[in-house]
Amino acid sequence: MTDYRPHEIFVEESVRESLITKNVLSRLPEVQVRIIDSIEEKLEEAKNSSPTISRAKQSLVLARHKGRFFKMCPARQTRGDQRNVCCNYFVINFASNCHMECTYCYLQSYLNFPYMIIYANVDDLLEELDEVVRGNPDRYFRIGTGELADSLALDGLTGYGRILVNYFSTLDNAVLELKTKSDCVADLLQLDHKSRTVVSWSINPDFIHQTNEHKTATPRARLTAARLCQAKGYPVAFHIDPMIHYPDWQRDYEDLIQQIFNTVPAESIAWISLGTLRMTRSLQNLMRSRFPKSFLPRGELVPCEDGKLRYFKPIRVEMYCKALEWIRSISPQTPVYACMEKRDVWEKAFAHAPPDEVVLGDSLVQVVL
Amino acid sequence: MDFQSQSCFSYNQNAMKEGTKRLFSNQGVVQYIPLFQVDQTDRAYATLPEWWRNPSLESSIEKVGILNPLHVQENGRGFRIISGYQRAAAAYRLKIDPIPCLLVDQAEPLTLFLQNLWENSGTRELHELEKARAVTLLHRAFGVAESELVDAVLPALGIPGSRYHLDRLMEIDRLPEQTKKAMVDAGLAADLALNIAKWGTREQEAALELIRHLKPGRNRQKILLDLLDDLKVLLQTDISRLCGEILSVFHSEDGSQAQQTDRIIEHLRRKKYPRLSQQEDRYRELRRQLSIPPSIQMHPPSFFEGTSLSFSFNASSPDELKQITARLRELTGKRALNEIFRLL
Repeated sequence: MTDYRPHEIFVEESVRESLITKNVLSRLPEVQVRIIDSIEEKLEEAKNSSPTISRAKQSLVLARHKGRFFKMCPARQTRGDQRNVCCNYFVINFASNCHMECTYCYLQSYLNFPYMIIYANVDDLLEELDEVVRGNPDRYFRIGTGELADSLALDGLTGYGRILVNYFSTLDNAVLELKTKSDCVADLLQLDHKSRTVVSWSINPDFIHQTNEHKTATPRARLTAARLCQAKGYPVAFHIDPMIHYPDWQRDYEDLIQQIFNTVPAESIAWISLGTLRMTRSLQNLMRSRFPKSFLPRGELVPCEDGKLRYFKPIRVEMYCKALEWIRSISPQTPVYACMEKRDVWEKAFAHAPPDEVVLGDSLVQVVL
Repeated sequence: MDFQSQSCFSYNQNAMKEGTKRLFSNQGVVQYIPLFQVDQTDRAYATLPEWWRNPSLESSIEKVGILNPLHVQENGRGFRIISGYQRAAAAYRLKIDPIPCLLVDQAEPLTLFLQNLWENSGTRELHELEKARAVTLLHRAFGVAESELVDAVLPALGIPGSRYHLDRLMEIDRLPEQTKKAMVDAGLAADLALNIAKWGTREQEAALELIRHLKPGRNRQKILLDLLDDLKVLLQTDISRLCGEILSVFHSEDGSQAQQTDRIIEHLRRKKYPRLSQQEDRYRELRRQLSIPPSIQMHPPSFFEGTSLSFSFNASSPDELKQITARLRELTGKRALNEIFRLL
């Protein structure tokens, strides 16, 4: 993985004394720091200068998160007929943007603020978690930090992982999922996590890593990191997502699944999710322009009912069926679910669909708790 | 050329207030200058490309002569045109000599250029190439700051004032001449011109030839060029080869340009969407087997993304409705219908 080294750091006055700010600044002593009144200043600057996506990421902003940290996963927010089967997932956004450059990353077209942001008011985050999780002791929560950022890629700078793992180790009704394409797990290995944290990897075959997952850790490095975490008792998980359709996909994904189970014992794998490539039209256009040689936005993608482009349904179903078959041939018990798919695709690929999101979500939490 | 660190917009307005007369030598008196003294090779201030032709202007000049004098400036070898390149070119072709000119003071070319630009943009729709050249000239030749261009010039040209649009215009100005020509003579959209500029020279030439041959509208241009771009990457092939293949297959076929375009698009689409095309073919075959009467319409969900077929029908009497329902009942027993449902 390519380490993140910003060219400049902007610190909002209000988080100047935060632990996260101190961590970042102490670990990047050579980088120029400017104190700003508000992140809005940078937003205004971005509007005027329209920096390229890659260039904007060279600026890191340490800011106060002004809204709610805790949200339901966007997959739950589609309505009615457009609704995909959801896994009752919640997210906390401790950061926004990612310095790695996956061609298919939705953040490219989703974020309206192009700089890297780390929300440094960690005390507010923990207070909010207290309110939601401790305030609802009869509910189970599976909470991830990897929606608007990679959970661990910046952990060497922020120390967020340590804070969150320690916090979740005190909870009885919640599981933290740290989802990453990095191999930054060093800081996690000494922690008393009490199996309340699942460390998970989005992973794809080498060919996709080499062609479309720029600046990320190699699949081998991710698997090695997974093994290190598993050896320290962490439940681990894998997201084979986005699955990409290309001439050798069957050979490569079968091989990847084999490698996963060769590296981590099946009983330590909390779950595996599957998801095929999906994107909005605007992301497709952006991908064509930013990565003109990538074949990803040019595949047999069709518009689906939720407005996103996905592979033509028989292709998706075939990919899920095959992946499930390969997983089941090694580990019949490992929980497998599809991400952001409609009920009919679930039924064709998995022979059933969960009755509702709570059943699916709780079944995944209970694997760990 | 001195921009005097003022807004080009306000500078121009000030100049207007003071009266344009002061901009011209000889108190704005028109002089007739022999054509050989007008240096047409000096295109420092031209906003339209040299090959641009304006037949209606030429026709008007042929009928009534040059009514608006050119603005010219001494350049040591003769007279440089500040505004009026098209009029001078028409005069050459029509052998009108000498031509009426206003001699411009050396110190004021930016003001005059802007005046000319605003006048043109106020009286006719400027071509995107013209706007691109004007903005590039303002920046490169006159040293107008990018922020000034974004804040004042772009909005005055009817373009949103943003850095993105400024960069886009400057990119348009850098397009190869053959692509610019296709924007004019084949109506190639600027965004598509910018896209194909990323291809190799031979590929660009082949695609432009295809566009010139088919003359598709903007929507079809986009579909066609996007498909070519996708297939270049997906099949790891060269666009000139794809275009050659297309033209050899479809060139001799009958039909209008629009029909040819549709057939080519379908040909390329089938290459890009092989599985979808296969399923569409199967659906059409099964539908044909059902022999559904015209009074009943059956529609699969778009791209087969969905789980239900929709049926619609029109009946003008209870008897007709009875016949339709009987026909629908009959359809439910057909194997072809079951297979169509399984396609979903």
